[in-house]
Amino acid sequence: MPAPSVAGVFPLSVWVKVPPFKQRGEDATLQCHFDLDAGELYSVQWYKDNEEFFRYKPRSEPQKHPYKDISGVKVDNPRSNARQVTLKQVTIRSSGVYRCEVSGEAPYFHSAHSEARMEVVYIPKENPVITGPERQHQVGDTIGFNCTSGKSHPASKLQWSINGQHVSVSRSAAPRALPSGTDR
Amino acid sequence: MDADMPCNVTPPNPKDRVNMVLWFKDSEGVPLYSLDNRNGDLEKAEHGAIARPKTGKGRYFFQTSASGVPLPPSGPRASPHNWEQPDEGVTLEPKVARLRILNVSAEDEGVFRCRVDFLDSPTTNFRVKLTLATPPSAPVIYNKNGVEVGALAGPFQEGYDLQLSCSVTNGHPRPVVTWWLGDTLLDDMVETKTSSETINRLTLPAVTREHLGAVLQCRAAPLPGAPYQHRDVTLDVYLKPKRVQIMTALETLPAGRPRQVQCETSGSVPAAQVTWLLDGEALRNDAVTVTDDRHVTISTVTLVATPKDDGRELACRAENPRVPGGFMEDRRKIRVAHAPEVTISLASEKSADQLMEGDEVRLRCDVRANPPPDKVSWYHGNHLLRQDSEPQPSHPGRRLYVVRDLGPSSAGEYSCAASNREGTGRSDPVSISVQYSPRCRQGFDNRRVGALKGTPVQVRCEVLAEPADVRFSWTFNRSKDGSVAVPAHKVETNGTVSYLAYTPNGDNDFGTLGCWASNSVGRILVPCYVHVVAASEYPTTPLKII
Repeated sequence: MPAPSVAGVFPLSVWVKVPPFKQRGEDATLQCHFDLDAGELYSVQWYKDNEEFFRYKPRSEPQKHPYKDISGVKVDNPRSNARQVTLKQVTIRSSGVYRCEVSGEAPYFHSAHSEARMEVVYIPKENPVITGPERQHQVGDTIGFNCTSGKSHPASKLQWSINGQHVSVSRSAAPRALPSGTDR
Repeated sequence: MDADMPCNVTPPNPKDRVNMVLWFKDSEGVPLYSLDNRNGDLEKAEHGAIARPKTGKGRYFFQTSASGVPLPPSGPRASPHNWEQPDEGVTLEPKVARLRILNVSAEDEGVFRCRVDFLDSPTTNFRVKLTLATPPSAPVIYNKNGVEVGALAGPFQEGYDLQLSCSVTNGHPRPVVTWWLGDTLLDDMVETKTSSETINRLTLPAVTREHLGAVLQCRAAPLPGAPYQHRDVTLDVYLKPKRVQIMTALETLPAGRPRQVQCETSGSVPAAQVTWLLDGEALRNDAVTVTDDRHVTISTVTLVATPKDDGRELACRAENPRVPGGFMEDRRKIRVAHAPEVTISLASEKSADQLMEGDEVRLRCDVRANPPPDKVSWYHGNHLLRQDSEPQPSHPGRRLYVVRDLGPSSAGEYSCAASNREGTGRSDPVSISVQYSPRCRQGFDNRRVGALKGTPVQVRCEVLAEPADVRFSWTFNRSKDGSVAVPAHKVETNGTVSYLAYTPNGDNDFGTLGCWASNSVGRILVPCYVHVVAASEYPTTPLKII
């Protein structure tokens, strides 16, 4: 339902720029773009999964207010302002939906928001490893091998090939994730 | 009517305070209400409310936990309001504020968001959904042909299915239409939804006896659990008969005499029709039907039983023609009291015409009697042989009698008779003949005949033999010479009688004649003797030719 039209208030648009993927350990800068026209800003609020973790209010003292205790969020205050917030050393838990809500000043407090998802990934540092019996077999034998990836998040997709030929899924057992994050 | 939208303005930290409250309708845009508490004094906080688009009048105000009276909103957006002042001494719920919307209408429906900015703590967002319900119409009930049903629905048939549908129009949001029987929910699935109508079709797969007079209720409520409108309908049901019983004892019907047999049935609505069947075939006797007023029907049939009916099955069938397939029967076996029916037969290996002297013969008497016979008697001709013989254990209606050591006098007719309180029955007799070798008839075993020399004399020999086909031969025994055979041409035979005629001429011609007879059984053991003596030895006896 469109916002009630009030005489004298210009429409407010807000849009976020959130990196869709970040590697674990990197810093991430999320931007919130808005256009208040001539209006004065009352607040910019950042939420991760509906929890506020950073707010900017020009009339407050201090203007910037990061919140701690939000899982996976470490705000880099010096590098955050009205139009962006920077997170230090993101972890897997930093994945989520990030929303920026912007409100104009009195009397109208006109508000709008925008959101986007950021996914933090961990790319394996080593190649996958095959373990299994290395000896001679007879035709007709059933041989089983294990393919273990390095630590990764989300889980790696493993693919078998024999002499360069891709092996169909039916010949391999369903992959299992190990608590340390490996796949089999 | 006014609506109160709650919003929790309690800061997580008691030392913290509310900085700003913004109420949004449908999440974004210009909030329809704002409470600016940045100066820290709730009593002086600025309320702002947008005007209602069409009328230009304010309809919202935000009542907080302030103990004092909130100031009316000021600023360019403000308009005069009616502020509801809390009563003296009444404390509003702490920290739960309400946005009151005066005179709600359909446009006010939607999701409201209350955003609370605290001075220190993170912002909280609180969503409330406002639904305006308009009541639905009173339900209308239709039968399965689409005809509206009044206070009474039916009549339905016991065991068959029942269909009714309940239609409710209007109502926002779409009303919840349910079927109930007493306190039991029967059906809460709505089959049809159009823009203006909601229909719940009720199907009961098999109507039971308990449904007669039961009241079904259709309820229409704007929301589950909300006060509802309802429509009641009472069920009319045709019932099958529940009980059928032949009341009269059929164990001993008198043969040939009429007896009234009664059958009672109950449970059928309307009253059942009763028919009688004997071994599956309908009786067309005059049946008198009497109906009680408690749904009990009594039918009476007059039976004249014959002994043939003993063991047949009488059935009383009660049926309600308005409920096809729902009939009940009571079946009983008829026992007809009658005099015994008796048959006698041989239970021997040999047949009746093969018995020989010395054999034994077993006679079997079959008695069909109801009640069982008091006594069974065996007869030879009219001579009573025995009464109350032992029944054979496996066949209580069968008795045996053994005649031992048959002789010629054993031949004849044998019969048995049995009697009970209904009378006596006697079997047709069975004839026995006993075969034996010839023997002299009484009086012919040793005879004396006087004869005169030179005068012919005829001697006669009579035997008893079975079969009576006898061959005779004579011998002559003179005192000094022994026996000689008599030439056959002197012998005449007629059945079991043989004649010998000769003329004694000399003293040699007097002596003892022996009459020998034989049949298929054998030869006579001891011949019949005729002593021929000279007549002069008996002067007083006149000569006789015998």
